[in-house]
Amino acid sequence: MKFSAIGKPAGCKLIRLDAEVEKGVLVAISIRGDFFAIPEEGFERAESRLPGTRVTDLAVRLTQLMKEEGVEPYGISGEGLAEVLIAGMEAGMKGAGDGASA
Amino acid sequence: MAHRLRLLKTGAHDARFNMGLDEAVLEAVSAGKSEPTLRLYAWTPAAVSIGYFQGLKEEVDEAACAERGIDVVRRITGGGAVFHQKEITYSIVLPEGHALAPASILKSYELICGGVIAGLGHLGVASTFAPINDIVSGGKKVSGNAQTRKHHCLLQHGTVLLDVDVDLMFTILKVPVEKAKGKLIEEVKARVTGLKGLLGRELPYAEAEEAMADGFAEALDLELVYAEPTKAELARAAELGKSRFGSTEWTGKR
Repeated sequence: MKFSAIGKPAGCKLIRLDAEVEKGVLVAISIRGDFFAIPEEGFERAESRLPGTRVTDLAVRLTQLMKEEGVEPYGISGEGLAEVLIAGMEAGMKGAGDGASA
Repeated sequence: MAHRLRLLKTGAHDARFNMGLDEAVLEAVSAGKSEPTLRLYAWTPAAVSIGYFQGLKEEVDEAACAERGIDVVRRITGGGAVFHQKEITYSIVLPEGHALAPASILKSYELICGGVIAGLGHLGVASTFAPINDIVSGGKKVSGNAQTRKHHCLLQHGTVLLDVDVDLMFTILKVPVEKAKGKLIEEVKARVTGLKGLLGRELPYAEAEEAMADGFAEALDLELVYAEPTKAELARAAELGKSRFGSTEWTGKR
């Protein structure tokens, strides 16, 4: 299932994403927004390592990956990203499925 | 003892050069070829800069920009989209370990934004720091700031609006309803202001430039030494302006 989502969780700046999830596992994700994550390249490496993560583990996984990559995030968090993704996924399931937008 | 910083007053340039020179100075300070630097500048033609992680097509109406001759550039810093029209912009580059570059990013934001707040004070505008990266006056945003750390240096740049064409700003920037948090666009517009609105008069760029230099010197205890960018920095700025900031690959990378 492919979907897009957008949200502004508490403590976060605006987070947008495009994602593909199959059987509860993240297949692909692209994260955008007006948050800060320093170093930026470290965040990109963390983002590229997210596929293969179970959706239920996404919050913990991003937090862990950012730590491993030495990223200091401001305006984005594992919990915030998971909140936006899950809301988008649920909206997609309620709607037409593929291509649904939160 | 005051901290010695080089002061560059580079005036108005296009977006590619402006972002190229900020990065060129960062590289030069990192290599020990230039002193820690405060730069004051402006933009011509008007431009939109988007944050490192933002999606170009989601944030900017590119066609509306093209029709009006407005540049679009992606920054090396995070944060949100900014419309640079009538404003003064600063950038500051400090090596890691410098007394004005604390390891805590939040602390360094507040410390450096103190220069902008003091500068605004010189102009008679009372303002306060609004974490993470804004400065507000009377509840309205008057300055946005963005920081990154690369090559063992801190780069922070930020803007102070001299005047703002809010309708044009919201024509070329796409503001999602999620960002407005249910507020009407009119309410979002009302939260942005320029110094003209606060002072009730036109503020010449030179006056703003002097006030910002004085404000930074006062708040950060600086000895500012006026200089021109080096030939190497200018050449590197031109190179980065072409290879990075002028490339569709970079601008459209997200």
